[in-house]
Amino acid sequence: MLRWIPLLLFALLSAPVLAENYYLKQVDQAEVSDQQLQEAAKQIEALEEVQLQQINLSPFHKRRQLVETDELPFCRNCHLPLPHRKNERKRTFLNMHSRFIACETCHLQSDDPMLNYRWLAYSGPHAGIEVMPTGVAGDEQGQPSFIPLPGARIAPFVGSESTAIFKDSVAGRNLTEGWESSDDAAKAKLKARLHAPLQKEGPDCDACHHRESMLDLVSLGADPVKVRQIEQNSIARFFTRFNEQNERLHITDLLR
Amino acid sequence: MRRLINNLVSIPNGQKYRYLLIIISCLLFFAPFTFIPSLAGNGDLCGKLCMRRFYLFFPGMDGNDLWNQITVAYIGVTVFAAILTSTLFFGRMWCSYICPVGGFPELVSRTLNDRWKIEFRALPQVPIRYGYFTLFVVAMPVLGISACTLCNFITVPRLFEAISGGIAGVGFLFSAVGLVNLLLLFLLGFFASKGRAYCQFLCPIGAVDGLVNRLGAYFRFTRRIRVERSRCTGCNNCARACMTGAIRMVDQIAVVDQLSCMSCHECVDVCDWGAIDWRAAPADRHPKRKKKGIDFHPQPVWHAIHVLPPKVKSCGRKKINWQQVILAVIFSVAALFMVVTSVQAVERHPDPDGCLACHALEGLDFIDEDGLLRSASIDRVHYFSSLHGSVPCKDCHRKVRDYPHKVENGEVDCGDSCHVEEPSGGEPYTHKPVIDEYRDSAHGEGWSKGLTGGNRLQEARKESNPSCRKCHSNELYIGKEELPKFKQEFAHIETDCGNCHQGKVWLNRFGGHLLRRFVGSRWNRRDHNAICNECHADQAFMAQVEIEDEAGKKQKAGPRFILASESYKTTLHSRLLESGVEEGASCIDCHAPGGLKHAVRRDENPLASTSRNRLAKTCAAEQCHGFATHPLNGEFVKTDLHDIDMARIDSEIVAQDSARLESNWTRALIALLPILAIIGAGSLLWLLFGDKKKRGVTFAVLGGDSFQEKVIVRTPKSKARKASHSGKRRKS
Repeated sequence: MLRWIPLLLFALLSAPVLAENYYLKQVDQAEVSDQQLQEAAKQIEALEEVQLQQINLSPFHKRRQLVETDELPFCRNCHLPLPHRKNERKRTFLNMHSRFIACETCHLQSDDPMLNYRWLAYSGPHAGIEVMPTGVAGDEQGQPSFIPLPGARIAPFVGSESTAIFKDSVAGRNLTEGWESSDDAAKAKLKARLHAPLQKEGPDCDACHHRESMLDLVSLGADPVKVRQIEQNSIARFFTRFNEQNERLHITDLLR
Repeated sequence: MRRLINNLVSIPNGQKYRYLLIIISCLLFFAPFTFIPSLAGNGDLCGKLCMRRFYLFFPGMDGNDLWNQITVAYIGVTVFAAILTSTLFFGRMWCSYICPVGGFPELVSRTLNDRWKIEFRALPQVPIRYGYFTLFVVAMPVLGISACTLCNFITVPRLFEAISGGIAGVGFLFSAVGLVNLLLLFLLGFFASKGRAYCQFLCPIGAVDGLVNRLGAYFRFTRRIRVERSRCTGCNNCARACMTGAIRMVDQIAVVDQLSCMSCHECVDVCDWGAIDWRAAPADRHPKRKKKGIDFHPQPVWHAIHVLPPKVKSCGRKKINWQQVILAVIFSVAALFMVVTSVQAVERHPDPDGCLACHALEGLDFIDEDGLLRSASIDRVHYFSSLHGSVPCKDCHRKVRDYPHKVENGEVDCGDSCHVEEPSGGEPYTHKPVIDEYRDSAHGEGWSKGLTGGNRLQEARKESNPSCRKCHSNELYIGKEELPKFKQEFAHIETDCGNCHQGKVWLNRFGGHLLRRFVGSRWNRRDHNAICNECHADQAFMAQVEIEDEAGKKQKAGPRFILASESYKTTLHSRLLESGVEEGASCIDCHAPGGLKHAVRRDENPLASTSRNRLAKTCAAEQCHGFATHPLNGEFVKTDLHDIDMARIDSEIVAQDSARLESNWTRALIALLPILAIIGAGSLLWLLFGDKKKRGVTFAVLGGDSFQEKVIVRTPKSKARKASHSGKRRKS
């Protein structure tokens, strides 16, 4: 019984915040099934911290600098900076997207008509503030551009409020404290609830890379050329066509 | 049956031979025997036998590219040249008598009834043929349409292969492209009147051959289908028999179009009047058979080219020849396109397989199953300015055969050859000679193949021998550290070269290559040492290395090996280099001085440059110790340049191997240490308890007496005491 006390405390403390944030509201309202709970418990039990390997054998090619995604998003409490690891075909592309697409954009249930997508600053002094194509909201001075601020990401909004949570926000801190002071069973329940509004698999490529994109690219600052580049992206088309894990385009087919 | 026999008998003799030749040709060129292609090591008419691809024009291509295309299909090019040469003298004998690809449909077509066929011969074949040919050469490559997709030189052999039971043939014919080609073979071949519509309209070899045929027709000595106009009765048998539609009746006289004529003799064999013949024109242009200005028994005049009066409208104006206009427009546009795209230097990069469509994207990073942070992004600018910048990705990553490729298929074998031509020999470039030398060296068990981004971890953790990539990476032609030197010595800024040398094309492809040599090799002696020290200076790593002894048994390395880098640092060889004097000697200078600088061998190996019998020669190398080979310098070359007694004594190494201490230096140390201990202890005791005032001036314990006796000529106290004792004894 004692182990539930921190969780209850956390729930009480975070109640005012939960009421404001769309995602936290979803978490608050989430009904966790036994199966989800068991799965979460199993994952916590099986959790092994990934040790990043350091070796002195550098890659043959000079690659671009590895981009370290900033640590501000709440998801980074548990997830690695490059969170996509399992899908061998798509992991690099998905990680690339995580540089300018917020986790919630893909993983929050996207069939809710209330959601709309806008730029949100994730680093620097404007972190957590909406970014318009012409600059940070309230200080719009520049020319409209796509990716208007370095480190900005497209995040889901409800009305004018973003659904993203940052580590250093009140809700983020409360959740973190609640997590750290919980035992495994409580953690499992919290984990299941935190993930209940989310979907494990994000949308397919053509959800965005398509004429009927879920993102309003024009309002995000994309000019017609950029819109065309995104909508008609050849890699996205390729993955849409060769969707199955083992489906591949053989070079010899090109010679036929 | 009788009808068939009658039909066969009615074939003119000349044509019987022609058909027989085509049948033999099919047997020689096609499956199941493929006798002639197999002589060239080919199973079909593609690859080096291809005659249809080397003249394709790709925007921005230069002479080197054309030469590359020619060398790829060198047999095909040679045969093509032979065909054109024979055509110049004898007409298109290849097309009509030998070509199995055109001949086979013709023979099939001739066995079918003439009623249910398509008659293509009335079409304006010259504009269609050369219009298509222009598209084939200029437009299709730009549009990315492979020249192989509409090729009868693939379709017909594959058909034979399929009939012979070949899987590849069946596979091709049941592909979409194969089916379309098969359809065209039926429509333009089997069911075309005379079966030569493909040759008429689509064959690029025939198009070029036709031009040569037309050119050769200007000369009197060349054999062509020629018409003696005065003998022609206008019966049009020849025009009906002509399989390419080259003969038209104009004013009831046969007119031969040499652009289309194949010199098949069909027309000759059906002409009862000898008005058409395959022959050269008489050498004598003006026969002297005139009497009073009038010819008698006039010499025949054989026309290969018929100059016809221009067509005139009823109003008296010339009719426009639209065929010529269209053809002129097509050729002009194509020529303009070729000129413009050649002048406009387009930056070219060797990414024919489109790998960089994905890999040039920034941020393709992931953490793999082993927790290794990896990146699949390639810096496009860096890559094309690097040492391997002209090598297409697939030349190294050969196992990539599908997209998206499996991770393990990215592996590389450094000994493979690539499509870059080695300038001195014209052979495909390869590191194989280096690999061979390396294999035979002390490092030879290192990885030179099977290298992937993922197995770096395995290599770093488990391998003691260096792989190729351990020492070599894909560096810039001119490294960042050399760039200031380059700017200073050549008074250039980065963009200056581009102003004169066609922009980035030149810079990327040649500039870096040449300038690197101007600036000097990046690898100086200090760099060599730095590479070796990557491993050899890491004593903990070296202590793990196992070395085969003479019996072939692997044993942990001894201290001499572990301390090799440190002991070398104490030598003049190293200290000169470290102080910036180039006269020092690097590791490579002694251990792999010749060859490709990879033959580092153990001293015990008689082939090693540092072996007992070769060391003098190595030391005597140019600009080093030329005197080393002198017989009196036999001991000089034994100077130990890895004297571990010069290196720091490492307790761990001593603990592992006490042999570290087996030297006269350590023996001396052992002998001297007790003396020092005694002196030191005495000194300390003296400091604590010695009474200086009482003792007065003191002299050294060891040698002090001798000093007093010989230098200051004074009897030491000890001797004085001894003497006084003996005096007392005498007195007493």
